[in-house]
Amino acid sequence: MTSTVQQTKPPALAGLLQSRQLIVCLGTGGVGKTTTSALLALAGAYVGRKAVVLTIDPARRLADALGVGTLGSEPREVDPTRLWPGSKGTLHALMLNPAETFDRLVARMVKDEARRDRMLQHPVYQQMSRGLAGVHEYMAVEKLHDLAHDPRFDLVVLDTPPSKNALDFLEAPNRASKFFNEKITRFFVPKEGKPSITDRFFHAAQDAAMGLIGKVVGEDFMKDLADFMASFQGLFTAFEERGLFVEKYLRGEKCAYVIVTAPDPVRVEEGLEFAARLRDFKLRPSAFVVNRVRLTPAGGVPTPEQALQVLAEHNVDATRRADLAAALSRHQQERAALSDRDARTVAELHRRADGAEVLVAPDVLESPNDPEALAGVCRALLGFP
Amino acid sequence: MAEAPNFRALLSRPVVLVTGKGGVGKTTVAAALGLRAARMGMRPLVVGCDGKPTLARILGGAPEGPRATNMGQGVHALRVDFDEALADLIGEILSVRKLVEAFLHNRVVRTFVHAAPSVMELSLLHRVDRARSKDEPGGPFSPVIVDLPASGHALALMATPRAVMRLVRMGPLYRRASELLALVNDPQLTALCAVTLAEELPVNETIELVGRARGLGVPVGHVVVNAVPPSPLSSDDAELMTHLSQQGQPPLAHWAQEALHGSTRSRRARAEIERLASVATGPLAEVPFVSEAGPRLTASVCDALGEKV
Repeated sequence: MTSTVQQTKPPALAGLLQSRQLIVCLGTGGVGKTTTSALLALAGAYVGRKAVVLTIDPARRLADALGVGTLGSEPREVDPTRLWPGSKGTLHALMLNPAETFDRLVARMVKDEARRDRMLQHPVYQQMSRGLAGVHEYMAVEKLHDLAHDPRFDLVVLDTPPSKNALDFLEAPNRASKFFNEKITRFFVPKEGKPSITDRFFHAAQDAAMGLIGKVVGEDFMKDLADFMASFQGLFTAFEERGLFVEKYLRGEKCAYVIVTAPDPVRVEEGLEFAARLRDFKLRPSAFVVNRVRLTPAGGVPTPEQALQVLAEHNVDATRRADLAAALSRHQQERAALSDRDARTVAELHRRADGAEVLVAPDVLESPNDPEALAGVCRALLGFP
Repeated sequence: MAEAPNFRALLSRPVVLVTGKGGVGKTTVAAALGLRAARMGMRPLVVGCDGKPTLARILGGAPEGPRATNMGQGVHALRVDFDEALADLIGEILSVRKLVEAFLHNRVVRTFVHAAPSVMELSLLHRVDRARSKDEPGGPFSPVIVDLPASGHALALMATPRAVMRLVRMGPLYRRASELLALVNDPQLTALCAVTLAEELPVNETIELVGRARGLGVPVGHVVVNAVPPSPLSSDDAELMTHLSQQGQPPLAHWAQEALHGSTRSRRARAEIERLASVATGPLAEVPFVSEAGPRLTASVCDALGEKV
């Protein structure tokens, strides 16, 4: 099965599927990131990895792409008969549910039932885990932490939320560990015992900061927040540790980045911006995947006159020939113009990819929403299955 | 093609929120709505939320700054500077200048605020509200057309005022959040414009977006179906083309095949538009696909959104 890969020099991405533990798909929305993630996970399973794909896209598209119905927030095995024939590995898929992930985390860390229930019911917790923007990314960090430690998997493919602000996701662990940092949370939590001199000095700074926040958010909320911080105090250390772990994991050698883009100058610029931002993190993309690249239309581009002559040779009804010839000529011309434009855009990306591989997935009439169609796209991208 | 809906009604709202699935052309449609409003004699401001001068690429002109920048053709644009927006929000809440400065310069407070969820979202809504006031340099503007992030983030943003109100329950932040909630829930003041492509996944996401936006009390205006592929063939020709694609000689067989593919794309697009129309998401406007980019594409979309002359 890997014979196709071994015959020729293996493309970089195909090699990464064998060697890395985490492949992160980055890109702006609507470029086929979810589809590409599913494809890479299927390809991982094909080459023998114990793969899992995590989508953290609020739109529930991965389920469609994998044909496994509604995904759960716990890894669920994709029916082996749905994998590509000859697959040597396994595939699990899951969809991030931030609130559920948060609840499970609390439940796992707090053994005392009464305390756990009080925490889960806390109004600040309820709002934070369910209502507040940004929790999505934090919980993706949590989930990634779990998957990295799950012995059932040796390859995680991560689909990231669509974002124009490149790499919001990469910054999430840092933001999360900052937010849950004890240095901040302890301001909210009254110290027990006798304060030392440094403590008293510290208290003055703390009071000032808390006073200011209190003025904005109101005293009632400050009380809630202090109560919340107190009951969650032990957990924050764990959150911070996990945030730091994921940050290290994302920056480590076991992780590869794939930038997914589309053959549109604006999308390619955005893809290159992702690459530039990765460099800020001292990282680089292994590959760009350009989806839905329109191919040269078969049959060339006839002028209306040429088309007219060919239609006459085929004895097409004389009254319809002129209109048809015009339509066929125009359509071929338009398709050729689009494929030329896509080719130029891909060439531009090649020039600026800075050594990263550029892989092209052709635009197909049937959108690749099932494993079989994805196999066809993978063949174009990686040369197998 | 559906009859051009009356964009005057949409654009008469002081705030028009534009969102949709990633890659459907939200920014282009937001900019085109700006042009449309300018052609109607209004004074539109297009607001970008990604922190970058994206609108200049799409409207032409100099990069837009954090304050209203004249982009030409009667359209102004700005990109939201979040630190500035937050400072302004805090300024309004604390009102005492010294306190505001202390707040913004306190290191602990700053770390907390930057890490806390929802702060950026509330600041953005506050900035939008400011942009429509007469305090905005060059203003007042109407409509303020906001090029929001993709559906998921946009919904989180629309949910933010209520989430903040539930948390803080009283005080100046509560009051400000409730004002912003009133703004995004008032059908006289705000309308959501969803942008989509005539494809399965974007249509699914649009239906979900519209439903959830209504659930949040955000008035839904138009749905713009962007880049609808026209059919290269009339329906009478399909049979002949099928025949030629099978029996004809190359290159005619290829041409016929390509044309049939084009018809299939177009037919599927029509079916998706019908599916969208059947769930009553709001008035639909179609924009035919054109092979353009940048400001020329924007102008062409604006024409398509116009009342037919």
